Amino acid sequence: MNIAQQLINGLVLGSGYALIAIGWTVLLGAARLVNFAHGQLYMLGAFVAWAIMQKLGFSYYLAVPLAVLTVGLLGVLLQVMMLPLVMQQNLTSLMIVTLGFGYVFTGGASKIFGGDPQAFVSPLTAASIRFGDVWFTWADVVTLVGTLILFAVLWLVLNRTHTGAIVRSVAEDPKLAQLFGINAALVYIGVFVFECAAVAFGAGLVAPRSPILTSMGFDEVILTFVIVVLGGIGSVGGSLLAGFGLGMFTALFGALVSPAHTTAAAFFVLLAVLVLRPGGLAAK
Amino acid sequence: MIKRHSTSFALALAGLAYFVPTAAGGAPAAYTACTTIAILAVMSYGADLILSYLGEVSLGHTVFWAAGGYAAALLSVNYGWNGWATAGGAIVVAIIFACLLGLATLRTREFVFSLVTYAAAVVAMEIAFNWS
Repeated sequence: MNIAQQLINGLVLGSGYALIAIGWTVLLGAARLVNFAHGQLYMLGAFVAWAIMQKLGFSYYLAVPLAVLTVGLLGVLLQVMMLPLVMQQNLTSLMIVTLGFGYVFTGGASKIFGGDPQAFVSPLTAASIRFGDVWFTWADVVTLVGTLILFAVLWLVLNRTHTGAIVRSVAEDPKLAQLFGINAALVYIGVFVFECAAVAFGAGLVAPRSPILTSMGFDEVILTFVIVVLGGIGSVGGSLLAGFGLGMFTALFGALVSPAHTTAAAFFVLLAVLVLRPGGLAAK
Repeated sequence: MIKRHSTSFALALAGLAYFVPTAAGGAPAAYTACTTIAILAVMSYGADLILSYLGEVSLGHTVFWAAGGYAAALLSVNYGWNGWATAGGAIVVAIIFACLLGLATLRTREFVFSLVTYAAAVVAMEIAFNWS
């Protein structure tokens, strides 16, 4: 086994995982909300970008931002529909409602886009770089750098700006924040739209690695759960570290044991951590 | 009145339910529909036990559903067990799964519990799907 190549793979996989999970981390940490349709939004992001490229003939570089925009707008619609539940912080109902949305998306997408696997081709994937016996593609570089930049910007916005302070105050106590004249509903919509847009962006960068199917999304949502719980609920830095850790684990497990069972293995890591450290790795 | 006699009322309803398929015409479709209703009712009752008495939403219900189903199918087809024995075996297998999963997931609360149980359901589906 080529150790250097597996480490690169782990780094690349990990940055992809962290990128897919970032929306959930913020949604959970900054708004105390959940969205079980996360994996299906990933699927929609990939399929909308694919459809824009196929049907409208746009380039990849235009299709991905348009897909991010489309899924973001879908997020506004979803959040407006769920707003009464969100304002009551009724997590039980929100979980079930978003789980339902996920199944609606899977069914709707297979109706619109068909049930066949499709090739969502990124020009970045074709361009590879080789150093000795180690190789990676430009898509990997863009994913890694994009993820690091997004995490850095997000951390700065949440912790160092007035907007971030408003978001955190709503997370802490929505009623008290409203007494101070903050429009909590608008903050919730904003955070939810960020989640949807971020996962669509992640799909634009990560999905071209393999054929896309309307039934996909379950792996992504499980990996997101694992990262969010391992990284400590809502911790931006923690989820980045957990993403890289999980990426390394998946790369090595895939190379040494079995690539077909990596999601299951990631889940058993989560179970083990829950038994040993119930608060996640970040717990003190 | 219903509240005071709720046990006898429920028993009477259950007794009446026995005659529903016959009353609906007695066609095989009527029996199938009633059996499905009964199965789903038992399954929802299981989920409701966790929600009502524990206050948590378990989304891992299908794990035990699948464990019971696979156990019953494997025991009856591969080992030729009869109906009662497979039912017993299915329950035992589901309980073993529940103990193992509960050991880890019950350390969590609220949405983390739901999240982990949901993950368990998806992973169980993947393992069953890749089973050779």
